[in-house]
This record gives sequence, C-alpha cells and structure tokens, in this order.
Amino acid sequence: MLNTTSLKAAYGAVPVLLGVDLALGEGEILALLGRNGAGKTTLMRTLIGLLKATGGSVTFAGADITNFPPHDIARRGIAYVPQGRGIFPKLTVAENLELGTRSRPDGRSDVPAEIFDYFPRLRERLSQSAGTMSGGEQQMLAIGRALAGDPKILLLDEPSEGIQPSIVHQIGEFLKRIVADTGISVLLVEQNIDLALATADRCIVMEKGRIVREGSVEEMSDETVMREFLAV
Amino acid sequence: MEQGVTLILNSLTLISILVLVSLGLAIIFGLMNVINLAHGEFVTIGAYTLALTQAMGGNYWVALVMAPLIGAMFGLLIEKGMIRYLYEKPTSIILATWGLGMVLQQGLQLVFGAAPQRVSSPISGAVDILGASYPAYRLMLIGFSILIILACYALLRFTRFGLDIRAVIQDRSMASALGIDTERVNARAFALGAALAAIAGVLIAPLTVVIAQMGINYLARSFFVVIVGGIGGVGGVVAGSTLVGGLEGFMNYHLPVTVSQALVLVAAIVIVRFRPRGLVPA
Repeated sequence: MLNTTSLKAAYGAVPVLLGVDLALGEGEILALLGRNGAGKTTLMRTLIGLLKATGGSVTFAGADITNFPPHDIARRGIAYVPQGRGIFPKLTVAENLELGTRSRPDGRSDVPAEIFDYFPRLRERLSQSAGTMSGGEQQMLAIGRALAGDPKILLLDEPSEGIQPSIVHQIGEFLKRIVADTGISVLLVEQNIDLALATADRCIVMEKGRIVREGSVEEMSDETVMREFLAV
Repeated sequence: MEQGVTLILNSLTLISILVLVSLGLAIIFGLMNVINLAHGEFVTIGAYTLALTQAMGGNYWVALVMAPLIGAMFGLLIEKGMIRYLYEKPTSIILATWGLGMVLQQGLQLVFGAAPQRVSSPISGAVDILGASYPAYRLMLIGFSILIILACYALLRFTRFGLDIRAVIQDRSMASALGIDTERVNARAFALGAALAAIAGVLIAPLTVVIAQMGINYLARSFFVVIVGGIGGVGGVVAGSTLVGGLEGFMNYHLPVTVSQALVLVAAIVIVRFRPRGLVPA
C-alpha cells in the first residue's frame, strides 16, 4: 500500500533519514520502534509531505507521491496524527472534526457517524474548545479527526505520550477495532513497547536513520532483541 | 450635552475608519505574517475607484460594489505574482511591498495627476441626534462599518473558508496535513484583505482628500490597531480601533493633533509592554 525506497531526508544540512525502505501492507498495523533521535518522527513528517525528501521515493497505491504537497497526500488517503496530537486548541471539538473532513475525496464536510461510535465522548463535547480537554480526550479527537477524512492509511506518532495508562490501553483497543472494521493500515510510532506489541501485527526497528530490523511481534518480544535495539 | 454627543460621534467615525482599514490588514498580517506596506494603497485604489466612477457619470453605489472586486483582483495579482515567492523571507516582503506601494502611488499620479480627485458623498445633510446636528454621511459610515464587522465575523466564524483561515492561523503545518491547500487559502485571504481595504477607500473618500499618497495616513495607524488589539481576529481589530480611535478622538478635542497622536503611540507602547499579544489575542 505504502512503500518507501531508500528514502532520505534532512533537517537543514543535518541528514536524518539515510535511506529507509519500508512496506506497509493493506489492513496492517506496523509498529515503528527505535530510540529517541532514530528518525521516526522525521520519517512520519516526510511521508505526509511536511518535510521534503532529499532522495529516494515514496509510493502509495501504485503512484509516486514523493515530495507532493501535504494537502495532496492527505487527499489521496493518508492521515497523520502528529506527536503532541496537533489539535487546534482554540477551535471547538466540532470544528476540529470538520477540518478532518477536508481530505475527503467526495468533498463532504459532515463528520461520519462512526467516529462517534468509536469515541462517544467526543459527541458530548462538540461545542467545547479542544484545548480544554484532557490529554486522552485530545488524543481521541486527533484520531477521530484523522478518521473523519476516510483515509486508507493512518500515520500515528506516539499516541501514548502524556496520557494516563488506563487510556493508553484503550487507545490500543480502539486501533485494533478500527482496523478490523475499516481495513485501513496503520503505521504506529510508539515508545511504549507494551502498547506497540499489544497492537501491532509486525514491527520494524529504526536506528540512526535506517531500518535495522524487522520481525513479528513474537520475535520482538524477545528480551535480547529488545535490549539490543530499544534499551534505554 | 450637544458637544458631548458630537465628540462621541466624531470618535465613532474615527474608530469606524480605523476598523475598516485595519480589518483587511489584520487578516493578511494575522494569517500570513505578511507585513504588507502596500496596504494603504489598496485603500487608495478604492478611493480612486469612486473618483473614476463618478467622473464617468456613475454613482456612489456602483463604486461601492466595484471597489472590492477591483481590490480583490489587485490583491490576487500581487499575491500570485510577488508575495507567494517571499513567504519564507519576511524582510524581503517588507521591502517588496514598500516598493510596490511607491509604484502604485506614482502610477496613480501619472495617470490621474497630482491634484486631488473630486468625489461626492451619496447623501448630504445632517441628522439631529440628542440635540446635536451630525452629518448624515458620517452616520452612514458608522453603520456600514458595523455591518462589515458583523459580515467579517460571520465569514470567519461560520463559513468553510473562515474555518480554514482560523485553522491555518493556529497551525499551518497541521492544516495542510489535514488536506487544506494553504497556498490557496493565502491567495484568497490576501484578496479578501485587499477587497476590504478598497471598500474602506470608497467609504472614507468623501471625508478626506483623495490623492495618490492618501494611503500613507492609514498605514501606520492600522498596524498600531492590529498590534495593540491582537493579531488575527475581528475582536482584536475592534478593540484596537476603539482604543486608538477613541483616545485620539477625545484628545484631539483638547490637544494639538500631533501631541494626541504621540500620546496614542505612548499608550500603544505601554499596552504592548504589558499585553504583548494584544488586548484581544486571537
């Protein structure tokens, strides 16, 4: 569905991605693991087009989308939930959700009802400013907003960051349910190994701008593998 | 009593003029962080639209409809032809729009000459308000500016374009990652800002001297208004205009104009010192 071939990117003159090869299949939850500074967030930003690739390519559903503008990539069906959630704090929950529909190919701006089935909380808070909600609720809003665009792929960067443990578990459950219902693919960046392993079908590990290991959840659960690539 | 009413209405007229000129600037400055030193010339273009329309035998109302269209066209042309290449270079934008302002001024002067243009207001006479006799056209100006404030508020608050603008102001990257074409929002917002300034030009023209350099009078004060009031919202413009226009209106009554303008500047500096994001931050 989404593939990169020796994808390179840099912040200014500092190269961060040194050649990333990645393949995300249809209906798959792929966990992207790695230490801080490995380039995970940079990869996500390059995939959605917020950062220009300096080399290599990104293809999505057979089309080369390398260095397309973000709004174009979003409208093709890739949704992005950034680290820190990226909600608009001064807009209401309803307005945030409506903005999620801007990437719909059919141009409709009504929020699909399924979003409220997944996150009933959001319905109660439609007229509230998004910035006044708790971290967990904001994360639900960010995911709900991403789904409102009816995407084929969800890029999810550290959904557990700054959220109570009980809700972290819930988010993992939501993700599995959403993938089962809609068949979308998820690329999940996560520092919380438990969440990643409980949710993902497959894992890849990034180190210094490259994918250095790939394997099933079972292989990754192995203590030595974890220590080698992820130990703090 | 009579004097008091006149004083208040004079202040309201000044506030209305500031609101009209500053609304477009607030949208352009707030949304794109573009310091557009040619904004005053958009006002001039509006005033000249009125002069030209009336010179050709058309009436005031035709000009009031034409001016925003011509302003929007100019705005779009300038955004597409110049500004959009400079978003990453704020200093270059200042220089480029300054130069553009001079080109527009001199261009108008070449075509229309240096003498003030003749314009006339659509309504004359005075209205009695609480014993004070006040020019009807000024009351119309106040009324129009209230209408335009409400229209701008409604546009930003209730329309799809308005929501896109507010999203882009808050977080440009995230807005684009959600599928909003931010370049298109920029171009349209710039056109809207220019259109608003051109409407202001028509409304102000009968009260002032219409010459090619008239825009300069409004440029500095509208930046004052936007910075003191708070960038990016209609509320900020109204608050800033009320403060700047209100102070100036009242002090003009007791003090020489230059002194009152200097005192307004001092007040603006003090306010920005304590409320760096303005009276009503967006």
